[in-house]
Amino acid sequence: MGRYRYVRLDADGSVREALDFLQRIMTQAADELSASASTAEPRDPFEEKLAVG
Amino acid sequence: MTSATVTLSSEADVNLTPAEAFERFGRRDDAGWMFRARCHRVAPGYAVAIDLPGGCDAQVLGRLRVVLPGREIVIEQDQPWRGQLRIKFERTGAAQTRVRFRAQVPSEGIEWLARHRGASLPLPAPTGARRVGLLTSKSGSGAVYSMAAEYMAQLAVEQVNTSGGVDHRPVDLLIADDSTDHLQARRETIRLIEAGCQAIFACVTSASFAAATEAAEAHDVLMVHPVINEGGMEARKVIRFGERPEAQMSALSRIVERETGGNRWFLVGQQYSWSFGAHRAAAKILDASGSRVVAQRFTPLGTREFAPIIDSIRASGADVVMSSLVGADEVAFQQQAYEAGLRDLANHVSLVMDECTLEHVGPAAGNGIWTALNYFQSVTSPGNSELLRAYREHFGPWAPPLSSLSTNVYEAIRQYLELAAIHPDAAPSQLAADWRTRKSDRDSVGQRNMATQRLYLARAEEDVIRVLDEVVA
Repeated sequence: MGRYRYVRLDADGSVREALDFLQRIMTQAADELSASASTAEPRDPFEEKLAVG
Repeated sequence: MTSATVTLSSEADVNLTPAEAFERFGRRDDAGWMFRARCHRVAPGYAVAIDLPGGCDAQVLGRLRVVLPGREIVIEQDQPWRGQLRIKFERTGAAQTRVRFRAQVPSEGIEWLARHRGASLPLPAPTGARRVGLLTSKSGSGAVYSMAAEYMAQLAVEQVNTSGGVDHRPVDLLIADDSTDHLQARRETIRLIEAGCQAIFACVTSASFAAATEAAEAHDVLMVHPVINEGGMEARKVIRFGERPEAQMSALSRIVERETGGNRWFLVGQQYSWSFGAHRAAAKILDASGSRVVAQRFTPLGTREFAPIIDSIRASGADVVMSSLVGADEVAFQQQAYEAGLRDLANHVSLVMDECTLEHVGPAAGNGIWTALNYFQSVTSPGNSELLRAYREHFGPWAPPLSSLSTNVYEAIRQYLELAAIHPDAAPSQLAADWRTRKSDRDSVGQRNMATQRLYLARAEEDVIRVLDEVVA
């Protein structure tokens, strides 16, 4: 885990725990966006085609 | 800990076009904690607040730096640590987008988070430098008004070090977060003392400062509260500057009554010494001027829901509402009062409407609020443009605005270090006595005599605070 290398003072693992927490909430941000997008109202495929057009 | 930056990332593939995915940012629906950002416009330069998840009780506070619709959003954050959040939108199909999240977190941020989650990290090793501490609020209600205080403390110490330090020794600044909680203030004060701080500057609530001074009582350390407070609590090693509510209310009641004719006041505050003192002062001044307090309410620090109080204001027949709420509580109250139509019923006075708080209240909800503090960015006093330039050169265009709180922290640290340079071995009580009686006719912002009460009477006009008059109390 390269991102932990710079931490010199982590005798009790609390810095690693903080980094793990940050990674969890970053993953949570992605998961929550995916979940909300999957429950979004289906779009009109004709409108979508025009938009991509 | 060495200074380094960690980059954390994640990504989501969503069945939305990039424009649709982008458009969900700031909408306050259920698109996830990062997309539930609160900002008045999704445009560069606007302040943004995002609640951190996972029981953190902290907000990311910062500013939108880059907004490219359908492509990218970059947030420069100042609280609880200085870092950056980036969201990129990349089309992967006709109606498919890959959204990449990236956070840059400096080692100070990791350290803050570890400590906030209960870790006991080692104290920084002695370096031979003279140490001073800043007790500030990087989380909780006070994080809103404390944003620039840490930067201004750093600026003060850097400038002194550039000039040779104190007694040929450099000065070290240690930062502590009270989480806007008096028990945490006590713990963090002890940590700063154990790390060797000879003076502690507190940009915190009066409740936190009281707990901090109690913790410091048995130690040889000077406690300084340079920001707005209700007065009292001073002792041999405890010194308080900043604006006082008597002077604020005296100036504000005169102009509000003259300009609006309002004379039935409703007071809203928090359940601790600051609001209790401020409301006592307000009642005395209003009584003397022939106005009256029709009712007052106190809420716990950390309140975000003000509907019951707004109903009470509406029922009271008040034509002026004075708020002594601070930080995120004041932001929530002013926004809800505006949305409930209270601006049409009453004039609004706020004792702590600094620039940092106003930008989170927003231009519409903030418009027309009267306030009085001893500094605003727009003052034309000597030294102000130089101070603003030095701040922007150090911290860049995206750093939060200066305010009376951050400027008072800067002035206090500079003046303490000047005194310490003259008497490097003086006891804290001796330095406090010298400071109280310090004679200075310097009037430049950044060097003002802190013992002199000076106020600028001002009014928010959308997103700026316009200074109307200067008052020497």
